[in-house]
Amino acid sequence: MESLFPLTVPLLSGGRELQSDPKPEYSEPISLGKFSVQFSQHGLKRLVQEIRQRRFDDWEWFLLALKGDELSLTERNPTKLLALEHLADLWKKVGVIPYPHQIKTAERAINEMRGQAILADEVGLGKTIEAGLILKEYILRGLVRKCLILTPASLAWQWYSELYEKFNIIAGIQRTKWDWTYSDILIASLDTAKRAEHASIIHEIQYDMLIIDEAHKLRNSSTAAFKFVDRIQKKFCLMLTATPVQNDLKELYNLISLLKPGQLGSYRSFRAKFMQDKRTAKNPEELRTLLSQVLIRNKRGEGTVQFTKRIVHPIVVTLSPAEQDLYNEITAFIRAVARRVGTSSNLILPLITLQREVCSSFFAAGMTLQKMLEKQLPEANPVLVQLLERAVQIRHNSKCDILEQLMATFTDKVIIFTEYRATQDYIRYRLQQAGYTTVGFDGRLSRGKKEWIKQQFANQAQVMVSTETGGEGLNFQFCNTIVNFDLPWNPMRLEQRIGRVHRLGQTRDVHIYNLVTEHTIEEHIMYLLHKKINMFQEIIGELDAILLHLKLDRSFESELMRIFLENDEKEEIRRELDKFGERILQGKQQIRSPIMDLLEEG
Amino acid sequence: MNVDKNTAELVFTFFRLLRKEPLEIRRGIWQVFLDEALAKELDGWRAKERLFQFTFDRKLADAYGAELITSGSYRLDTILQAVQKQALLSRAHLPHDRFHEPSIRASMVQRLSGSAQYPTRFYVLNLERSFSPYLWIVFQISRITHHRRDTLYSISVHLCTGRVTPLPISTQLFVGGPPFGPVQRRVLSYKQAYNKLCRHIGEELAVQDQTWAEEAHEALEAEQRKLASFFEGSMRQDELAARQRALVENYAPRVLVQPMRGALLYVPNFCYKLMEVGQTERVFHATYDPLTHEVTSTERDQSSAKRSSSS
Repeated sequence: MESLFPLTVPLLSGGRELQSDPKPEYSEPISLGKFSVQFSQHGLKRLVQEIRQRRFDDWEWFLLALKGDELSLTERNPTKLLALEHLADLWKKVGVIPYPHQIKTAERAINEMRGQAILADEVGLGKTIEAGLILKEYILRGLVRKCLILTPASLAWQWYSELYEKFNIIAGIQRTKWDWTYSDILIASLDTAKRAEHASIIHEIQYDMLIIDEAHKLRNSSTAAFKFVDRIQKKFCLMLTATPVQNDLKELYNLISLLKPGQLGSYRSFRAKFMQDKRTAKNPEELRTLLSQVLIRNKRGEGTVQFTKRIVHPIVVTLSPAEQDLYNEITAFIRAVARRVGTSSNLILPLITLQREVCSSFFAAGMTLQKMLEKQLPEANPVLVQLLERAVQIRHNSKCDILEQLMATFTDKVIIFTEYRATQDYIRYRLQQAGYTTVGFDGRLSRGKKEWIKQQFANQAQVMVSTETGGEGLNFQFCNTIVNFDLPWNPMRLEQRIGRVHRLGQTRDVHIYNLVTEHTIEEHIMYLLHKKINMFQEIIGELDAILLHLKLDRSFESELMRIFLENDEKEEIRRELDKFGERILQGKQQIRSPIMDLLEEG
Repeated sequence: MNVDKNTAELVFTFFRLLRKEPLEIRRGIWQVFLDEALAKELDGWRAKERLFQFTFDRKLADAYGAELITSGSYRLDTILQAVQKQALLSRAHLPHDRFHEPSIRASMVQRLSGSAQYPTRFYVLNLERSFSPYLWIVFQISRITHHRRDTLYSISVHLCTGRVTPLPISTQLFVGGPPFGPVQRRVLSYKQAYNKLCRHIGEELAVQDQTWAEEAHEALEAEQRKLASFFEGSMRQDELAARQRALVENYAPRVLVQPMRGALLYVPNFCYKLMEVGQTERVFHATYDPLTHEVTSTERDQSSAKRSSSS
């Protein structure tokens, strides 16, 4: 059969390149006054080798390849961002429309800040997009090959999917110590990376670019994380944080010195020149000028982005007497056990789970009761057996009845969130029985399947029932209605749920339906999240920073559980929740310190 | 319709060399059949054979769903990648018939007559056609600071005389493959030739505009001053030195020169055996190089050109 490719080197051979070696050898630098020049030795060797082996390629292909070289280079000498042209098609497919402030930020970071910048936009303005754009631009310009992205562990997948979907950058997520060396673009948890066995490898590597998400964790120069990052060898560095400073100018100094040592001089000179006290700046104009050379902060509103509204619809659900009785009995059981083991015990975790599940559905609670039973002999806890039997007997679910009624009022697509898979399966069963087309979305799905389900939901199904695990990084702006079948206790998780639809690119107001069961803990949670801290209607920027600022001894959920266990009466619980809510609001005020004003104009 | 001519030319040549003729199914939209091998080359191992419709116009791409091939597009990238890895080293010759020999002969005789001190006539006794070997390399020159600017620079070296010269004739006039005719024996090794080219590039760079390097140098010095201020009064002088080194490594202006592809080019020589008739009579050889328009003459009746198997 005649060859399809009349070439000396067939297309499918993979071809050859004079500079295919990722680390080409160069001659010793020859100084030519203001610059030095190095010649490729590797290229010479390959060339001579090719001539000796008489591997001559077709002349017409050669000329075409030369034309290709010229075209590629024309592209590499841009007056504007190359990435915008390269990503135009992809963005059209995935529905990304870059905002002018994001493009301007990328241009400033590259052209004015020489790839060393703190991206300090307010929450929700797309810092990740900006960082991705900068990274892509540097990759296209041939300046970045080895890049390390340090994030909190919970955001690693989000980074992975954002880079892949929006920038066609295939990054690895660090799993083994080999990844540090062999993966060119690697996403890793800062906590993992700073561990001695990893840090020693990382500090040996010369990175072209380092990206640090949630960089406010590096404000304190005495922490191990700060010292670890300080020792990383990098050419370009991006730090992402919405709160580069809280209430101490030294934090700002530390962060900027980590990025670019000397930008603000030595600490002694900085203190003398710019600090009146730790919260008040001297010479603010001069300081602002210095800050604007390394820090970019975009604010919501004028010139950037206007988010659509969040409209909250609380739906009160009344449990049937049988359900209410079982709820009370399970709650009493939890209280009894918790008081015996203490709230700081490890055993408290399954109890918290059980308490949250019982507000979701008795199917979910039943599963946990069963697991608890499996871990100990049934006769060891007759109460557990009894509760499980009663949970199995309940065939009626008041919340789902209300959900069905609610569904009848919707004409568009809906995402229903629950925290539990058992509840998810039950909701899907009920809705399918009622004639709705549903898809399920959870963390068990592979990446490809998640994408497929997203497409199914966009094109065919009316309802998506999702546990929030696995939803990170996937955006459903085409939908503007969400139903919280149960409420997560942690506001971060709630914000993540809402953030799936209420984000850049959403053009309609977002409707949030919260199903809240009367006379249960859910009522109190709703009170805290909705009435006290107004979680549903406002985008509470910097939530993670606020929670970090609260310096809780335990997790947010454990803190709530402590309040519920230590107080029996409804009024007492409300009082404690009020106090807790106040602390959150104060935290919000405190992280919004006057020092932040320094960053606003630059 | 706004079509980048270079891009379109590259794409059509690509398909032509693959013996595929895109069919214009609608004004501005072309269709071509991608067999499985080519589909895999362009779209990865999972790709299957298919009809491929493309356009160079964004509006048409939107209207008819054809793939857009334009600067920065995914499809242009894949084609460029496929094209760029096809040919690393090649060889071609410039046939003698690209030049009008009687004009060369007339011009050379006229030039010789002009340079003679007394009235002289020249008779052409014989013409021998031979080829001179050149090593032609296309270099990528990257000027690197915190930015990077790449340019292509092509230059050739005569493998017999060592003369370095840019190629003054369009490569389109060359014909692929070795010449059928005698080739002068090369004197330089390929390594020597390559080094000669590198030296030439170094000399060229030294006299070119260095503003970019001066600016980068100033920026580097400013960075170094800032860094020094950070460590002012500090005992950590080792760290300062290490960071200063890193700064220089990262931001000092430098130029990297690397060959992209190379070719052995055979350029024709017109070697005349002449008789000079004037005050005295003599027979000599004169060689005309059409690239440089130089005439070199040798007194002895022997040709420097030797037959070569020119394989």
